Amino acid sequence: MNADTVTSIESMSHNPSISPKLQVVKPSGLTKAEDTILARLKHGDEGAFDELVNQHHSALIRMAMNYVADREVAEEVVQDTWMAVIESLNRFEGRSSLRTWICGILIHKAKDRGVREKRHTTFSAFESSDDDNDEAVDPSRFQQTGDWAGHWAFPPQPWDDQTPEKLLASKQAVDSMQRAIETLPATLKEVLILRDVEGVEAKEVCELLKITETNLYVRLHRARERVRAAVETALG
Amino acid sequence: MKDHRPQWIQSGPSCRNVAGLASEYLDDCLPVLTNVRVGLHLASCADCRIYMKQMALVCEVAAGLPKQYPSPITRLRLRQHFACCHSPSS
Repeated sequence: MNADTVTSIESMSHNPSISPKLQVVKPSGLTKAEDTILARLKHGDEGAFDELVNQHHSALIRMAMNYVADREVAEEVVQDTWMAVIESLNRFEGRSSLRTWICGILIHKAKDRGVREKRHTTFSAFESSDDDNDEAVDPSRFQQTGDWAGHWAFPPQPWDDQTPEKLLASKQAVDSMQRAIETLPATLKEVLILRDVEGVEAKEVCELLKITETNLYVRLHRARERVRAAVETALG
Repeated sequence: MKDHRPQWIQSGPSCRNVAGLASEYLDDCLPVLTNVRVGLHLASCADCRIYMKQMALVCEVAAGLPKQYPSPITRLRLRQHFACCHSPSS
């Protein structure tokens, strides 16, 4: 990816109707923490670079897996992304958040790699479907007719005394969640990874994936429900 | 005698509606009135409370899934490249 592409990713959240000359006060997309780390990075602080890698590497790997064939290729794509980040750091002006900028580079590179290897087509064939008309929760779990139509016919059963800590300690539950996430269609997986696994704010996810908030929540809810259903099955 | 739903339940959202709004409710991004309606439904519906609790648990567990880090060799390569491009003396 060339420097122009890196710059264009940064500026993607800008209003094109505003002339650059009029943007006297440059809006900053950086959080205070990002502002600090960016200053350290630009001064060549290797510790800051390590922190940045530790913070975002996981999300980048999981996102790259959406576009390429296997883990090994995803690792390569992420390494290329970090190289591009290092090389373009001095040109980054902080108009979007650092994370949005880095993820934008990753998506561009991963898509490019996926297309080049023509493997994205193969994935689609194996992916579970994401039909826009599908309801997140199986409609047959609700009463269809009568006074109680729309109310639970087969309600969820309580997961006895489950807490996040207990669930995370249960290999069966974590494995089933990981598997459920891995098998989500790409459009659902990317929102779940960004929003829930990596904790990116909804607005930033929309900006990054260029989707509306309505669309985000349609996808996110389907993704969460599929993962919930997988845990429900695993816990029996 | 047939068991009819109380009138006030009929006027509110159904379980199906509430289940469909669960993610937006958990992220606190529903319009105020809808948020109140979902909250009232939850107060009276144990099944929907279970569903909502499970969805919240999924979000919390997803956030706690194991982090992934670069291999030592990749990290070394990246550090070297960073030092080469951003060394304070360069």
